[in-house]
Amino acid sequence: MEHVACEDLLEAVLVLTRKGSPPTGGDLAAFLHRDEVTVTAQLGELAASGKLEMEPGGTVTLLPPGQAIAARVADRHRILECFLAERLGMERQAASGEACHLEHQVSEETIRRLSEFLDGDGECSVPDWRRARDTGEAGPRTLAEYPEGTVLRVAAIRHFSRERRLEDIGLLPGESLTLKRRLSNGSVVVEVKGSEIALSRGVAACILVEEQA
Amino acid sequence: MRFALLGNPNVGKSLIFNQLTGLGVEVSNYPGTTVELHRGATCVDREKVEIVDLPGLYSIDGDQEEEALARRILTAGDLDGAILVLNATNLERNLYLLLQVAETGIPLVVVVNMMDEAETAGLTLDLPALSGILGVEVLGTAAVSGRNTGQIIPVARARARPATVTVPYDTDIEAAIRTLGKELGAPRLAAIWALDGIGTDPVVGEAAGDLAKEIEGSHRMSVHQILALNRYTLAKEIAGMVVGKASARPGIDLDRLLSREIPGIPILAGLLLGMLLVVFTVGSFLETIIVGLFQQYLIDPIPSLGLPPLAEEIVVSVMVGLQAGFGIALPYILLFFLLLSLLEDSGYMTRAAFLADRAMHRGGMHGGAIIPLVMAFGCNVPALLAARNLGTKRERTIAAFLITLVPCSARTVIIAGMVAAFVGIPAALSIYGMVLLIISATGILLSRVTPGKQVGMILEVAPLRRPKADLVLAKSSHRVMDFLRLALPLLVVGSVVLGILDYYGILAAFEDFLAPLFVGILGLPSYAVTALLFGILRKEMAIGTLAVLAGTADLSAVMTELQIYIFAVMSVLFVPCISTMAVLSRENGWKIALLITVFTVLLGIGIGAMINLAFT
Ligand SMILES: Nc1nc2c(ncn2[C@@H]2O[C@H](COP(=O)(O)OP(=O)(O)OP(=O)(O)O)[C@@H](O)[C@H]2O)c(=O)[nH]1
Ligand SMILES: [Mg+2]
Repeated sequence: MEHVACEDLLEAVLVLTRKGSPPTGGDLAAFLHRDEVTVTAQLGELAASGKLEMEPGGTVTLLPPGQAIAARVADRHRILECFLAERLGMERQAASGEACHLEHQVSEETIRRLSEFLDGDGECSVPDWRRARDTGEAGPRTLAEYPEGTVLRVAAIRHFSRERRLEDIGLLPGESLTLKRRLSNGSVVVEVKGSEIALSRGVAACILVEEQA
Repeated sequence: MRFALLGNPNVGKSLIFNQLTGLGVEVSNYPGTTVELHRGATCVDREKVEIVDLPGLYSIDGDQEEEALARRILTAGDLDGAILVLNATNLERNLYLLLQVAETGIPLVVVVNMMDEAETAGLTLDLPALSGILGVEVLGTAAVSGRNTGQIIPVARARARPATVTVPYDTDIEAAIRTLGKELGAPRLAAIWALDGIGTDPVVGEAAGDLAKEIEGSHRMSVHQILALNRYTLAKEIAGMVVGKASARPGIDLDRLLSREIPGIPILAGLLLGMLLVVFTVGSFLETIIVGLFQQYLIDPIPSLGLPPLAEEIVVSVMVGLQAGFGIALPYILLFFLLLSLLEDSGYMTRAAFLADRAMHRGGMHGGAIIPLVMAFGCNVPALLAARNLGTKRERTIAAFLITLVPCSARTVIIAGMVAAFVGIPAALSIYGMVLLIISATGILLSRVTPGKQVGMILEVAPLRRPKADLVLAKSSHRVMDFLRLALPLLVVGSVVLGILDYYGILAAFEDFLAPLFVGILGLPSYAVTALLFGILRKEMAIGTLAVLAGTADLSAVMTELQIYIFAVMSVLFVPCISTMAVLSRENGWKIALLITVFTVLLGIGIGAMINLAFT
């Protein structure tokens, strides 16, 4: 079995396991849009090489070697998707699809540098449970794209290292805010829950908004 | 009995604390003024009531240090209750914290402060209704005018009780809370905290971690986000029932000017420059008067007393020390603190932070760092403490370096009292320009080499207010008294020690030893080295000591302009004072303190030597 298919399958097991309970061959086939017979055969191969285990109930669990591969691929996927969507502005689903291809070829060095680049300034990365592959949302835009004075609604907050602080001051999905000030260098002041909050460019970039209907 | 003052940042907790205890902790109009616990006490009905002032909080379930501290205090069990201070003009956001604190089951009294501002804004608050909903006593206050603050302690003593309000959480969360309760016997609060990832029991924590993962998977939201949404829903509902509609707020919006790049940035630069110029000009005017009076009435008559030589040396030294303290230091320090207090109380600092954010990122920090950096102009010590508000260790380390380079008011005394007075104001300003360059370069360099992550700014913009004269005066006189208490004895004792050392010729031997460096490379008179060293005790002592050693406060008589300039530059850059070093090693570790000391010594000598080379 070629290594792309193998990595994809292991990654799918990981994602589905994290989402709920261990998946069956059928779940995996549906998730990957593949034929169930092929998937079952591939699962057999992976079980034989000690990467995963087929449970009596038809469900699949990862063994440590498989877990390691799956986690690495999932991590690459996350970083690539974040970069494509949030830095290059690609639409979420397209970014996720593209990441599916790139994740198998990209070198360790590229991933490391990308990851540093994203951490260094943008402070964003996508936790697994919020991956667009599952949600398929048509990407809302960031604050930087609206003029001062617009009333907006928070669509989502991208993962950000001090996310809790944003939530605690009321920047939560669904909340409405007014963009009070936007400097040319990207810093913004927003009014939310009756107080004005100044945000750095990197923080503002993590807040996805849409126009209030 | 013991009560803690809790609430969002900048709602007036410290002002209330000061009024209740008669102490003078820092009160300023920006979030994050208080960074440490302050304890004070008051007597009510012959009973001692201890009051603890906490740093402001937006929540108690975050991962920040002060939030963890608040959790510990609230659950430690040695409080008789919490006094929750809310901002009347922003009830919903403030209620969010209240709902969390209510969950801990601690007895509560709610203080709705800033009632005066709510009234000006046309808000009506139905406090009895709020009291009914929360199930605790509610007091409306306006701490600026002292309205109703006297009621707080009596009410807290007699009627603090646990709130009856509870947040109805999402059904999955409630189910998880029940599961944790049934299977592991975790109480509601412990279960919520464990799900939120801040629990203290590892067993409950592990079970909660699994449950949380499930919930996050099905909700596509973090547990913290779900909890926050549920709390805010209730907070909004309560605020809706309590707050009457505001009439449109009239008046001019100063932020149209202040928070735009143009004219905001020129205004910012103008303000800082204006402050310096006022300090220089008004300060030197006062200095001349006071120094003249000292000279005429206290110092000149000394020889005519016919004292024995050693005694005369000592008396003169003490007088010159006092002359330096009162005449040179006091006018500048007083002015500086007055202006700084005005700036702090106006709410302007958060605007400056916003404008400076991008520039600060270049130096590895964010806009919030402007607040400690501006405070450092007053004194480096509180500035180092204020730097705690910067999120990460990396930022605190960089900020510590830069703060110690900022000329504090004591160094301003040297710049103003020596350079502005004897060389000229442009020369004095050039020192600030030079320091600014050094600070920028150091910041850029440090942001490259300091390990750690860069974080962004999330800063609540403080409302613009006309500073209250009594508060500004109280704060600046407090700081000036600190100066007098700490510095004057040092100045006097230092002068006496100097006088004696000088009399027995010990100083001369020491100076001869270091003469090659100071005279050769820096072109300074040999006694300047002693003055620089005394400056480590307190920066303004450098100038006092110099005056004692030169035998006069009129330095232009004994030093050339270049020498004065080099001496000032060196004492500005050279080693932070002892108190700064002590706080540095406490806050940032002795390694950083040592590093900064070595760095500044090299910097001072290097720049001093360069100037000397360039101009001779
Ligand atoms: N108009 C008005 N201003 C107030 C009132 N109470 C406090 N202030 C002002 O609000 C500002 C903040 O006061 P502090 O006491 O420093 O607030 P704090 O809650 O201790 O703030 P942190 O220490 O940052 O958490 C100061 O400028 C006070 O003068 C009030 O009742 N009315
Ligand atoms: Mg305070």
